[in-house]
Amino acid sequence: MSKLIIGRYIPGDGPVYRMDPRGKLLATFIFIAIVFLANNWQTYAIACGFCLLAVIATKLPLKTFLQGIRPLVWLILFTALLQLVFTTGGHVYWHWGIFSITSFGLVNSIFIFLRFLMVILISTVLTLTTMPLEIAAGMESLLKPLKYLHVPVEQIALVMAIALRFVPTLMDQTVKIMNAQRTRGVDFNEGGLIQRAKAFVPIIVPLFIESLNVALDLSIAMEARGYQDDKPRSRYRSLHWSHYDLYNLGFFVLLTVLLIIFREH
Amino acid sequence: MSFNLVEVNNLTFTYRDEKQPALEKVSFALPAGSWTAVVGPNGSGKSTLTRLLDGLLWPDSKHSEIKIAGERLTKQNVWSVRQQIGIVFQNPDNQFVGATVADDVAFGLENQNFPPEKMQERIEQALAAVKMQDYAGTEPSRLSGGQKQRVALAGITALRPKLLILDEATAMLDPQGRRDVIALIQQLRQDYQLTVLSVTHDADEAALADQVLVLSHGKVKATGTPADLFSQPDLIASLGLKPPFVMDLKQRLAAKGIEVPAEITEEQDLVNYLCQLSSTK
Repeated sequence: MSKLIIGRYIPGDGPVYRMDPRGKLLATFIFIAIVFLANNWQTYAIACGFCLLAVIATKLPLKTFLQGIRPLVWLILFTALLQLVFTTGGHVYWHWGIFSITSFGLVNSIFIFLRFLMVILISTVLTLTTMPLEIAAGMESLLKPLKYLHVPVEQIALVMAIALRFVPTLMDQTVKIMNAQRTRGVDFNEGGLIQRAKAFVPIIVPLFIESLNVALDLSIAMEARGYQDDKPRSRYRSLHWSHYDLYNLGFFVLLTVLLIIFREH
Repeated sequence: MSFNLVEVNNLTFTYRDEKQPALEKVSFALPAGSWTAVVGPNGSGKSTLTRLLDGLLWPDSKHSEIKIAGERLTKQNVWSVRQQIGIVFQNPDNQFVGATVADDVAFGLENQNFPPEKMQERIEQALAAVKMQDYAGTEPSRLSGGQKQRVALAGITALRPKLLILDEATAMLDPQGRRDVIALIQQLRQDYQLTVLSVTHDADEAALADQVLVLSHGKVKATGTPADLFSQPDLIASLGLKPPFVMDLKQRLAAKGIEVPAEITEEQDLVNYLCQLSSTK
């Protein structure tokens, strides 16, 4: 579990770290949308170039990103492979039953592969350089307009922040319960799929009860510390736009324009 | 100081679906600046008492009265009265709200709509007071239980309350963490002129108090100084209160014919002694 890099924050001080989480969230969403504008070699080269720039701007070692991609590499390759053998048109290199490798298929699968890679890289840039708490704060700020529709944005944000805070605590709890069950003779690594799944019931039940207890205790502690859900609260972490965010969003506007100019119409 | 920060008169409380009241006609006073320990067996109403004082539960009838700083606690003023009270609960993890140490200290300030521009200073000050200033950005999962309780104390002192309630705050800590937290509370009590009410099972902790309140079956069974109380071993035993652990173990060993030298009073020394004892046989 600890090897999983997706969704993990690594402290650092590159320019990306100084950007506002709202800007980074927006940029990530923009990128995921405009990556679909790319449809020829020029536009893919431009998008890849931007992606590499973003990775370099984190000042994190490239190895970290490769680690992030590794668990997903099979999924990407599988998708690319499907694209490769099922796309028809162009010059046929190889043919067997319904499968064929064509020049169109080859180009398409490479595009799909790159698109996948770029989306993962850009989201990894976001999560590696932004604390989960900041992402939650950014989301809250971006969703503020929903308050006029009576969506309790602030409460949802607090729930998100608390959920994030308790992930490691419940992980520890899981390990404890697993060890406790092991001492009672439960083997989590033996037997078929069904048997293994069954072995997890004695973990899930105590974990569930424990999290209910935590929730009860926490709600009392929060009330004792003066939390009222209908009262205005000030914020310790206030978000500030800086010139870094101007660069950030400026870059992505530029990228959009370039992609629109160079794409095949 | 002569006035009473807390006055409790005739406090009776019954949980829903229960016949026996959890607290029955409890009356006591906490002089401002004093340290009071509440002891008693499980289910004697100790934790219920702390929740009633903070307005987290409400007494059965209008005849019960809780006064904090001269003001009677009602449903109208509960939020302002609560600002004068800080509680440290038993489980260090289940009261840690923030994703980092600084965020957790900020939580109480945020609730009071404290001006954000002054928050950083308050937080730094509070963390320095509990010697956790180097951990401001640390996540709770990387802290020990004792460190988490220190952060909880920082969150409370940042709000400048008058009354500090410890609801078995050291029960889940290791001996070293427990000693550190208790020493810290004594320091904070002086620096911030706190009145302390500590619910505890720990005889060593109760021994630090100015007065001890003994609860049993929801009633006040005895009050007095720790010296008074601990000179009555029968009373202590009848309460299910643990005498200091090392003393208890030595007594039981003596009953089995193993005499431990009198100069051994620390847990670690006793462990070493017992390890050597069995290896020489």
